[in-house]
Amino acid sequence: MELRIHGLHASIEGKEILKGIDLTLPQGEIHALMGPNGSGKSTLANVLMGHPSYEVTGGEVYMDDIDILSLEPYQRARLGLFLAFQYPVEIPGLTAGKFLKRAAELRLEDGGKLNVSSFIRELRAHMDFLEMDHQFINRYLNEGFSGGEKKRMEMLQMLALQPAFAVLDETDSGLDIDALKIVSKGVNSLKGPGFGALIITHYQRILNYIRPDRVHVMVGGRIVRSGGPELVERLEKDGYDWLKSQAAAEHAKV
Amino acid sequence: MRHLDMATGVRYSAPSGMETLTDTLKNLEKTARWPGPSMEEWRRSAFPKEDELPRAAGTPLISWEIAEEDQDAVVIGYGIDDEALALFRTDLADSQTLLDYRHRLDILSRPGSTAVSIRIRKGKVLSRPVVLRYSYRGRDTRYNAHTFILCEQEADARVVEIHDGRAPEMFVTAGTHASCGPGSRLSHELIQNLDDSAVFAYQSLAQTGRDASYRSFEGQFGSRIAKSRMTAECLDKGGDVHMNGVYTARGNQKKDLKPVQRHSSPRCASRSYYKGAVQEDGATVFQGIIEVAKGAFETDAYLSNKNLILNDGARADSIPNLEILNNNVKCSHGSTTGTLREDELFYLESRGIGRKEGRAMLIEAYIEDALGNEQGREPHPAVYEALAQFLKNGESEKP
Ligand SMILES: Nc1ncnc2c1ncn2[C@@H]1O[C@H](COP(=O)(O)OP(=O)(O)OP(=O)(O)O)[C@@H](O)[C@H]1O
Ligand SMILES: [Mg+2]
Repeated sequence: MELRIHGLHASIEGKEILKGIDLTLPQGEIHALMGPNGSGKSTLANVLMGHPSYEVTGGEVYMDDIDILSLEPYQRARLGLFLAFQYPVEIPGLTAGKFLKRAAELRLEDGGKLNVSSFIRELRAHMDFLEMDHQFINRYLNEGFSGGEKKRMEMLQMLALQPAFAVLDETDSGLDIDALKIVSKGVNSLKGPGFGALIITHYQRILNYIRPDRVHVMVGGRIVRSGGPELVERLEKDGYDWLKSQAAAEHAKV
Repeated sequence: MRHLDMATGVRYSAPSGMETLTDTLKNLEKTARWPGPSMEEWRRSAFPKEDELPRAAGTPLISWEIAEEDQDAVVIGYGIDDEALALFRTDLADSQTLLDYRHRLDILSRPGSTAVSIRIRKGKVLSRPVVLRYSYRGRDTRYNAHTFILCEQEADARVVEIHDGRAPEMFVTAGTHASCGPGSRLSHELIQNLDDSAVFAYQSLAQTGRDASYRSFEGQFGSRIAKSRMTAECLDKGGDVHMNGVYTARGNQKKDLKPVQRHSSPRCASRSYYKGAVQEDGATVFQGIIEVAKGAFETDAYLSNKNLILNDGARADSIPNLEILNNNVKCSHGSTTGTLREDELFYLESRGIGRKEGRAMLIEAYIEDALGNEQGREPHPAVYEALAQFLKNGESEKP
């Protein structure tokens, strides 16, 4: 399978944020998406998932031959698209366990029945893998979780749901070095022919643990540069200024 | 004065100055009026006039469940015996309207059919809840039901009282008197899920003896109009009261709830925590109150009400009150009103949960902490059944 984004334009409250995104993510690959604050990375993630606040004004997004822009967010999720949120919401009153169980049930093919005891067994194994306390699933979803704990909960969901494509929006931000390694371990464990990931990040350090196949740089709502892992080192060294001025120059030409 | 027998915690002497019960009722008839908008408590209830309500009286079907191993610890009485009659008298102290009068008169005139007393013997700890169910089945019929709960000294019990029935246009008045003996622990849970066309009026009075603990839960789901006033009165030192409530209104339903935390004795603690959810043209009123009598020093009381408004046009009024005739107390109240949050819905959706289901999950999550009346204790399944109807009904609507 392939996630294909072509000429994607999107705006929020009448303000255009994405100004023509082209990006193809095949399963089996891991791509990194970098770019300065406010360049539109989270917007892209939200638009892919179908957040109702954003209006798509042009372009298309396909998962193989399925036009996902015409689908509701829950349908996209059931097709295997996953978003690890930059700021996961807290839902007091809903236990993480109940939520996860329902989400896992819905990932099964129609009529599929979740084997609860093996689901719980697997969930425990994932929690061990992520070095999470088993008690987390009895707590209300993200309520009172520390920033790092919330990110781990996102990773737990990703492992439990086994998506075809995952977009990780700054999952590495706010993590200590151990947590960072664990999160990377989580992504790497899914790596394989049935999994593609787009990792949105500001830092090289996560990419020391997860080797990206390609790196894209977004500036002002456009992908201004794509390349191999060496691009990350250049960004780390020189920042975004050289790309910004280049992008501005190109834009002026048009 | 009202008086709680310290030995058993269940016997009352007649209030001083009162003659016979009949005299008291006669007085009530003279002074009382049918509830209407001129009475502050009933101002927002939209309660029908007497001639708009059915006249024909009926008798509910009454059933109960008691665990096998608890049989010896519980005595069920049918009708009003002397002990219940004594409690009934103290109830009159809370009577204000002609509605109360009629309710009482009706029960007294039909003894053996409309009142149930549940007595939990001294020191007994019940293994399972006693479930008492009143089922109403006649269309255009008026019903009265009264429940007496006598939780004797050091006893520990959970009593679930369910009022349900699907017949159209019923008018149900119900009342409960709970007496909590010294050191006892009583949990009283009321679940009202009558037909959407019913009119329901409920009143309860629970009184705690020394160091007694009283937990209440009320779930007000059904009925076209439901008016409830649950009073928990701390009659002796060391009383500990927790009142929880959940109420919903959809379609044209109206709910008007008034938990009363009455502190008549020093050094007692009370909490009430009520949550409501309204949708479509539903409307709710919350008028909970903390009353602290003179001399009830070192009272610790808190009252909280939260409402979830699910669409424009639905309405939730929150009017918490404090009435404190004493210094040296710690009393406060709070209320909030909110709507469902789009980012929470989106989060659930992003995990494959459809919008309708996500909406239902969030509503359930919202009221979750008011559903039980003690941490870790499962609410009776009837609560979830009633709630499911509310959640299902909102499905047509896209927020
Ligand atoms: N509701 C809104 N109304 C107007 N502008 C908005 C709204 N939400 C986001 N934006 C703007 O959209 C732009 C892109 O935001 P986005 O969150 O996608 O950036 P980002 O690349 O993820 O940044 P960061 O690295 O800081 O997370 C920003 O300029 C932001 O201010
Ligand atoms: Mg962002």
